[in-house]
Amino acid sequence: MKKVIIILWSLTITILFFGQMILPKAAYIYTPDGEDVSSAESLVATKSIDSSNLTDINGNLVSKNYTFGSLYDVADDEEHIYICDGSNNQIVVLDQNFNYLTKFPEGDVTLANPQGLYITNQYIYVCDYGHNRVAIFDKNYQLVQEVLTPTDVVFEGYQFRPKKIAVSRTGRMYVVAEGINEGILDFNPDGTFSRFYGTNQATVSGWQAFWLLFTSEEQRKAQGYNFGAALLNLCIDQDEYVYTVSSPTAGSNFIKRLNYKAQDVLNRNGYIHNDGDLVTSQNGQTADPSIFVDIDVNEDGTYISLDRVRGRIFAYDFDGNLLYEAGALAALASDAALNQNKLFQLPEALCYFQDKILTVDSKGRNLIVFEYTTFGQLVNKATHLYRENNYEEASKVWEEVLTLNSNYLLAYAGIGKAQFRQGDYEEALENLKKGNDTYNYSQAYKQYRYEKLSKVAPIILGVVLLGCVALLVRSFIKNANEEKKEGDM
Amino acid sequence: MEQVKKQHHSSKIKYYLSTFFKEAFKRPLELIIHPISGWEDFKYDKTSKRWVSFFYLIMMIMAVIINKTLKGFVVGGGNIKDFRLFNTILTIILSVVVATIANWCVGSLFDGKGKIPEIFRVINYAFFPYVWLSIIATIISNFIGTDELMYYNILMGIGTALTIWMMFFGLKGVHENSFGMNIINIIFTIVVIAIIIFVILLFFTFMERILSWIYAVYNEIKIRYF
Repeated sequence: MKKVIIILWSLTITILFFGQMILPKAAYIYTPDGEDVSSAESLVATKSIDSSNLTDINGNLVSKNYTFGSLYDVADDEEHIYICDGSNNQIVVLDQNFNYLTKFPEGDVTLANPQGLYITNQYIYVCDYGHNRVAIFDKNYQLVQEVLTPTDVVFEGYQFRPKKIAVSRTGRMYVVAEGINEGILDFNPDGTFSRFYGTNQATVSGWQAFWLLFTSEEQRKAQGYNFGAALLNLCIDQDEYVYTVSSPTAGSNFIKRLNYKAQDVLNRNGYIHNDGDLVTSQNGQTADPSIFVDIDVNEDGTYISLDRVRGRIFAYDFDGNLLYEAGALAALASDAALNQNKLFQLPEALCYFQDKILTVDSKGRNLIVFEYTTFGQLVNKATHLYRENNYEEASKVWEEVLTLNSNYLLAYAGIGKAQFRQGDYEEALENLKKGNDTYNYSQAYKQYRYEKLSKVAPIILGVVLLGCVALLVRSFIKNANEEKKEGDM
Repeated sequence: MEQVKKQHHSSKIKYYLSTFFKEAFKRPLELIIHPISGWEDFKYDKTSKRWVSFFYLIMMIMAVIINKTLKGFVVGGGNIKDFRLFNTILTIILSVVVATIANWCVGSLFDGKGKIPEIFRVINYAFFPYVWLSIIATIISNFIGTDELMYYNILMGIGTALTIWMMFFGLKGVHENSFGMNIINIIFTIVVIAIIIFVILLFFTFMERILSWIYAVYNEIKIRYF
């Protein structure tokens, strides 16, 4: 009886000790177990540009003529930064030192609540939400073309409300519009509607399907329709793949990389799913999944995505590994030492600009500039070298990364890969194990096994062969002896 | 004289070893190959041994521990951070005990002839294939790559399947059930296991509340009168 009680009590203790996942605060990275471990800071907000410190080239404040409204989008070409000011119905142009240059449109042409921007070499594409059109300006800020509601029968009675836009090299426009569940609108360069693209499929889980069996027609109508997850934003990379972000009602795979046939070709080989934070509960309450509101991709295939729920920027490499995360929401930041200006209120958009990352905030009405720390630069460099299959150079950089952050498992994997290619299998196995790279570990192990076996195998074979010969000789002698005996008899 | 003693000693070891081999390997193997007659003998000729059943209970715990701690990296090993020795032991023992009790309850409701010791022995004897195959698989898993994973999976799969096979026919044998009746028996056993776990959890939440109530009363008295 005593023993039973002891066993039962120990059971309660084990139940009580089930861990709770708590949101990480400072810079962190996820391990393969989904555990967050602290990491080095990779991106820091170095500048916050709002109406109070926005100056023109001569250093004069421009707040007399213009103050920032709700900023909804930011985009850049090589020289200029373009900010979409939704409440002032303006596009603001800054130079690369964040000095105010000009704003447009002026005169007869107006915008109404512009929501999205895209810059190509020649044109500026603006999602003119309030005027139900996409307005295309040239670099002299003159309206050259507009894309209106498609004339297709499908759109009868529909008001075209474009929110975000991305344009391919050939001038095809991919538009995310409000109130459209069929996917991205794909426009030809001349502004005619071509097709729907990248639709998120509506899915019914097994449990939902089970309950649907017991619901009547009226109940189903009352429940409303089950749509696919809403598309929130998109961007386009140099190889014309379209990256989309969807609302988390998709369940998983919020980020997609679509080819021309709208198939998802994103690599998801990272330690964890590239769906932002892995938090399942926060102080005992269920935490919301990350909602990515914007995405941008650079030449290395590294994509950054902005989470509105906790105000974080997540960077993933082309393989789907989480490289680093940065940023915080002012409401969640516990560290009082942080400059409140450099925290997010309601982040809306981000983009790569030279070696920086720009973000805009609609509630904070500011442009926040993130710059890489040494750690971030090293990670980027290593990713770049790895992307170019330069494993050896990359492994040198990864070693530097490890001196800054020994929790960075990706670096171990990178070093292991280089050692594997150099034929240093034993070391490679250890590093690949640390880096949790099962595929390369397996490859390296097979080489290692082959190497070991090829040393031992000849000896074993020799022994076996000698044994066979010995047996043969023995039986031969035995036979001969027996024959001799028979002969004697 | 001394030589005789020595000889006697060695023959004793020999005897123990042969008995061990016979009881712990030959008999369970017979039970796999002859699921009907084997389990009949198990019940009526008392061919089972108590120590074998405990041996396989311990070996089951060992096998699980070995598998969790020593399996190769390619099958998800190398990470024993989440491994809890105490939890593992407790889970296995408790699940065997709960399954035995649940099956006995169901058996007595459905006119099964099995007694608690018999059911306990059946369950433990049934661990035989899983124990040895999983140990072999664990060893193999250290020497394979990802494309050879199937060897590991097949061994583990066969182990599990044979364990289920032994458990099924063993319970059928000790309860003297028909085939169909045995399936019903097992389904109800699973339901009863769920109920038992529910009751245990209920008990513990209840205890927790009582404790917190006692603590509150203690606090109240302490603050009010002292």
